Amino acid sequence: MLMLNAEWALCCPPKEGALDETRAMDRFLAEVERRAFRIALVSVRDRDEALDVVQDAMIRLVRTYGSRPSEEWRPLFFRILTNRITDHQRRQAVRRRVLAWFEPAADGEEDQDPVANLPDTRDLTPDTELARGAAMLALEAALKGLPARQREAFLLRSVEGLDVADTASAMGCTAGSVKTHYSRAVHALRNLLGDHWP
Amino acid sequence: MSEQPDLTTDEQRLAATAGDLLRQSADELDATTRSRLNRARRLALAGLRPAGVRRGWLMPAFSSAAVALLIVSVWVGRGVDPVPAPEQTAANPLVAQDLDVLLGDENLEMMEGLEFYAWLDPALSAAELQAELEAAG
Repeated sequence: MLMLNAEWALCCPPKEGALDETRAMDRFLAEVERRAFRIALVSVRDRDEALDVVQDAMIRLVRTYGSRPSEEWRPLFFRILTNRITDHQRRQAVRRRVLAWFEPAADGEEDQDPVANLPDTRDLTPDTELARGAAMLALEAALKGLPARQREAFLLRSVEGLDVADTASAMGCTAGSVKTHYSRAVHALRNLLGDHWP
Repeated sequence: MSEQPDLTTDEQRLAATAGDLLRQSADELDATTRSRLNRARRLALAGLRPAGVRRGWLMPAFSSAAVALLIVSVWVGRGVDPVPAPEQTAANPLVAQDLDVLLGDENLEMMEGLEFYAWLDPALSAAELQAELEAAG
């Protein structure tokens, strides 16, 4: 059977247009994959899970929307990515609820407040505060403290640079909702990070 | 973000700085993560068959069907006797007679005698015919 497939591939080589399509998809995925991973990592907070989410999104885009015009790939890809992240967060929430019945949290761990986990930037010297690593840590911690939809809107707009319309398409909501989520996200980040960040 | 007029200049700057930081960290991912992303991309692209081959799925399917049919034919054909059994009824009564002889428990000498008489009978007829020809001639 392998022989038959190989012979068929030899006698019927792929058309140039099909190769162009594959190359274009390769270029597109190569261009967005790192930022997609960064967005997924901020949301799911686990490298392996983030990689799985990005891989799922890539496979889904290629198999389901590979034949669509390349201009549509970006909002479609980030919509798939956003849905995958949401699915992951729902599964995690269910898992936590189920595990809570069997593994009661240790004293002092019941109420994990993401804001309380933020690094205290007030005690940092200006030099340290300006250090990129510290700024990054503070930003990541602040992003974790945002509601999921606000975080999605912020990441899609600020990191991926999607406009309001494409962000709305990726999030499956209206442009007005995107503006509201984004605005609230930025306000919240300013409050969480303090006036002197970065 | 000119599409967000409700944001102050400071907030817009914060958003821009945060975006720059995150994009920069994405560009500086470690080699292991970059490699795994590359593998994920290759895996995803493997599902994007070129159109020429994608439309040619019928050919392997037909080939598979032909091979399967051949196997089934050979398998079924094994149970069929290649030499059809002779009719053992009125169409060929000798077969039934032979079978009776073979299955019978008569003396073998008598069987040989019967065969001799069966041979002799047409021979006698020929001799009688020759005698009649000579008498007539």
